[in-house]
Amino acid sequence: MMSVVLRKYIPLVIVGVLGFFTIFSFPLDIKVFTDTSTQLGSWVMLLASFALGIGVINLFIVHGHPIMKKDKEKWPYSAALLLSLIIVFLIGIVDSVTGPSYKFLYDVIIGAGLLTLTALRGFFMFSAFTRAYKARNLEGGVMLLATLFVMMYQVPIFDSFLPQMSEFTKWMLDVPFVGVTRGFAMIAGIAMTIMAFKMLSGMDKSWMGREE
Amino acid sequence: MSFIENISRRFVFAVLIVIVVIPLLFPFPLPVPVGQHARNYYNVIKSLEPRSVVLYGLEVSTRDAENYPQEVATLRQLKEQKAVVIFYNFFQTSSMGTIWGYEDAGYLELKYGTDYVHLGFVPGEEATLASFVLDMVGVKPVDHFQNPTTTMPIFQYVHTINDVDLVIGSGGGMPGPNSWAKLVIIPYNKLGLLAVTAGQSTTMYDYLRMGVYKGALLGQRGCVEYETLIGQAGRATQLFAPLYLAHIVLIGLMVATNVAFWYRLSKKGGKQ
Repeated sequence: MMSVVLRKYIPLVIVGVLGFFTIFSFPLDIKVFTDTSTQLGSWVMLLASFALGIGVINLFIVHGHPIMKKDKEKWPYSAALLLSLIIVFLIGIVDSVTGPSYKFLYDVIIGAGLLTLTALRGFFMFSAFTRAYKARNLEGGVMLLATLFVMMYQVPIFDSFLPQMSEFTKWMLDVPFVGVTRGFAMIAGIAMTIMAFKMLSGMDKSWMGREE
Repeated sequence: MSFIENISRRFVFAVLIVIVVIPLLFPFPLPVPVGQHARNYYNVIKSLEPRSVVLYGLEVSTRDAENYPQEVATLRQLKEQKAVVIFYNFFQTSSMGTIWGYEDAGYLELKYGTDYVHLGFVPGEEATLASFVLDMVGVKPVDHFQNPTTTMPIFQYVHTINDVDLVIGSGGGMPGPNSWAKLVIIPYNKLGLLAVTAGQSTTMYDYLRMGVYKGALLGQRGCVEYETLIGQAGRATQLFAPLYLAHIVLIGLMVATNVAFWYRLSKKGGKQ
């Protein structure tokens, strides 16, 4: 009986009460609600930092496994990942995340690596758009036309000799596109409200990872 | 026709290399007409009083040709306007991109803690942001460099979002400008500006149409327009020619491959 209370009811009560304070702090300008909500936000930051730590432990478990098993296909990549993690961690501890070594590491390796990946992605996208983007049916044709218009809108030369195209694209982005986006946003908002209500009221307990 | 339809990846990559490298080796100017979104962006910053407080949600992780020049150009104009800037990052890597940006914009000449402050990475995404705007120092007691924020001159008069004059949402991901609009600009009725990648710009037209964001830099082209307005040709302008040519060639190739595809279909009587 006690274990059911601990595992089922206490988490539900915590989520229900905290969710209640957070939700009502938005429409109701009452000090107790806003203060509690702000305080809870600080806790979220602490929990998120803690989650980062758990993520690191999880990374060691997931990537430590192929190394221990000497999985030929995976272990070199896992070892490279964990080694990089340890090096960055040690430099961060010894030199702090604002020190020159850490900054050098970021500027020369991490920053350059991120930029390289972005540039490579450009090549693959260019190739994919050229080779695979075909108007195979009416819907595909509409999508292709919309893509071409949006791309032409990015290039000022088309403004000069096809000003109507530019105006049409502007209208397309401002009217039908906004209408569709708004529709999706409203549907997502309603769905999230229903989900939140079900979670806070205890109707949906899937977030606890089990059904009692 | 079958060569065009089944164009090889190697050929496409070779074409792209040529159109990217040639304008870099032999740069040429490209006139870009200034659009309304970039003009509004410029005018909003121009209208700021000296010592106006700007909360800058900045998500730039690389020295790319879109977000990074947007950041540098914006900071240059903010510096000219003598605005006080508070930097806030959702992503850990953005905290380094922020330092690059303000170093390149000449912020090291200004007084840290008085003219600008770099709060750095704040974990917890949107939930933390919602609390941060109600109690800045309480939620972020130390800045990126581990200095206590409580004693900083900026935070002697900036406590909540009510003390902020302008909010800038920048970056190309989630959380990002969407979060700034939902949690800060709309609920607290703040003046907002937007700087995003071209890829993300399509998700932002709703906010622009509603007037949530009063001005915007949309992709590299938006930044080129803005650099024209502030009179400083930066990285976006310098690197615009490869993008410009790549777009033209890509449009041409897409049209050509589709024409070849439809031609083959017509030969086969519509069967794919």
